[in-house]
Amino acid sequence: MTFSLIPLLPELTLLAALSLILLMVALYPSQDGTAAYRLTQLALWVALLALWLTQDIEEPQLIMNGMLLRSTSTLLMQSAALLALSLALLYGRASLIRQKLWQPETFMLFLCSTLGVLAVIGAYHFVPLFVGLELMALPLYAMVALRKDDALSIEAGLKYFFLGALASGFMLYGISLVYGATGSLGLLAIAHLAEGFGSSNTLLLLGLIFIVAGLAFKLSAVPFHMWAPDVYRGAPTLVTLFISTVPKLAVVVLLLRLMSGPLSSLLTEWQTMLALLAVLSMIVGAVVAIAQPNLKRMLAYSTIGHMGYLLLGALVGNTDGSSAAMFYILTYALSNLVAFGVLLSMNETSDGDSKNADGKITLSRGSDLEDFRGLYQRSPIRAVLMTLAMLSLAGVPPLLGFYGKFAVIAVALINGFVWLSIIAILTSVIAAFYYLRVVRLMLFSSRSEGEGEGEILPAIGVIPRTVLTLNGLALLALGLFPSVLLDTTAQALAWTFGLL
Amino acid sequence: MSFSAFLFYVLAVILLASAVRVVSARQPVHAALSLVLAFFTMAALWITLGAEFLGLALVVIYVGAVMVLFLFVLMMLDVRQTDQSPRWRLHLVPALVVGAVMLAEIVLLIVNGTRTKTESLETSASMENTRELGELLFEDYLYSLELVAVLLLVGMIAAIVLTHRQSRFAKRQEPAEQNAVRRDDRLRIVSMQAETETEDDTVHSSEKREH
Repeated sequence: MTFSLIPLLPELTLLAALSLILLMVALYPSQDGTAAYRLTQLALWVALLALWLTQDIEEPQLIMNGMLLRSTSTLLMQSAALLALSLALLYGRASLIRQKLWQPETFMLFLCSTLGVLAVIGAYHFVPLFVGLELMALPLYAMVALRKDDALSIEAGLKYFFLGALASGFMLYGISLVYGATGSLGLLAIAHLAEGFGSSNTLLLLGLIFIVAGLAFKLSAVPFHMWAPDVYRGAPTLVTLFISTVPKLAVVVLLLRLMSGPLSSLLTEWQTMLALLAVLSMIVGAVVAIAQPNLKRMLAYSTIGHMGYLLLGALVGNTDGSSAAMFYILTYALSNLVAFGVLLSMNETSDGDSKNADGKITLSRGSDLEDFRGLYQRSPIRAVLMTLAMLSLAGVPPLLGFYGKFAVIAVALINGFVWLSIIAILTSVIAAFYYLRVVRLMLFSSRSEGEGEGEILPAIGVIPRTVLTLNGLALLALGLFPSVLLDTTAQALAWTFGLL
Repeated sequence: MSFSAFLFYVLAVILLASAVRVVSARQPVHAALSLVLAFFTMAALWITLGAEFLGLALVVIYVGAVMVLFLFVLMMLDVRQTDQSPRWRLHLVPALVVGAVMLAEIVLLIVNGTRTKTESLETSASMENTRELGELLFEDYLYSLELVAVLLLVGMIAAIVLTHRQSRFAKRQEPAEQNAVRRDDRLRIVSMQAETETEDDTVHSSEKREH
């Protein structure tokens, strides 16, 4: 039996870049992150190219003994993940240098985690699926705690690690129960076997409950959301951007895949659990975020709320619902990139450099809401881009975020989830308050006399500024012509022929 | 009684005896050595059952690496002989309960369990165990195996990043700079006017001398 390694080219590219950076560090230990950064960007684009060149668009195929799926939906989501990391690194470059994280190791961890993301999106067997999830999560724990001198960062890393280990345990236990019920680990085989069981099989149902708990943790859906605000706040901002965007893409695909394929016979149970998660997430995400004085914490609750809307689309359980959920996560990722892109361009040097020489508690500036007061006077471009991002996240009509929410709520309404849709609409109105508060702070209020005088915002390089502006304009352009992205997603799903 | 059954009983007795010794030994080193014996016997049992690769892996990994490390640590730490008299009784009851539950579970499994698994063991015993495992790992599960390999690499990288990165606040000596230091870096000679002693100064300085 022989394997062709060509379909694995995207993953292999990332792995090769990782090994190269390792070798570079071994040979020249004292280098900074410049070479590693360039190599990472190159690898991401080569992987993206390889993804599109090696992919047979016409029909989905299972490769590597049925363990790996290559279809239009995986192509779309894997491309989105690679692109998101590339943009995030571009926006975060200056921030990494300011935070003294401009070292090759940082990029190695990013590459590892992205490799895990690609593996999860493609996995069609429980073994690579779980290993991929771990490969995705393990570097994240280290990345959150990268700022070793910052107590907040360490605390966040520890919290994330312990809760993440627990969630992985849940997931693995659920997988083992499903294996116990069906005697198989391949998703295709489970799908065939589980159809015969109906919803009466207790073992399968228990497995499902544990798997949903594990997935909900990764998505930071309430009540498994406790880690999110602290981790978002404590992690270096670039890592926060990464956590809030790229792994979410993978977990959404995983959720939709498990729901539509192997465990689809338990659709009613899925819907009950996901509906509960969705309602709680939407309410907590909308209400608690109002009380957050820090933008990173606020965005954490914003993520929680968005995951609620996403679950609302996912729980419908047909192709339209999956398509809406996928479209939603893409709009969310695109808006989030702009919001964090602006946040990354703010002053974020730790005060610990000069004031707290013992380095115990260092509060990083630049991410509190007060730092955004009167931003328009100081830097119009940042203020305008942030406004676009906030309005898109809030779901204000001409922007992309509106169509995400619209697609999800419409699909839920059509399929008879009226109460859930009403809650979704109400919470999105409440949530609009705190998004608009940021806009008001930036545009319509100014700093009092003498406050923050002499503070200079760091300059943004030409390329990051251009790309960030284009990214912000894309929110508007895709919002004006939403069918471009919406059709792509629907098409990608339609061409998977049931093999999501 | 066939030879394999005879071998099984001999090995089982040794295994049980060494396992009891692990718990009851007063010296931690003795307990660790008993554990090594238990692993060895267990490996031998597995090999008689036809799982020769697993048996050898047990010897190589657990006896060869893990237990040796364990013994190293025990010898370095100089752990004292444990004082068993009062606490031993305290732990006896929970230990017995847990043991009884586990025993009951095993008995229930043997009584109620289906016998289909033993048949598959017979067929696999006739094939080469190592070859079968190798085929499974490097053909069927090749992709997963590669992912696990990367996962292990990640563990290493993450550990190094978190522990080995030098802290900004760490104070350390640079021998090269210390050697290269010159007089001018340490001492600055300033020419200034000579000062004459007043009466107050002489009083102060004499007081200091007395101290």
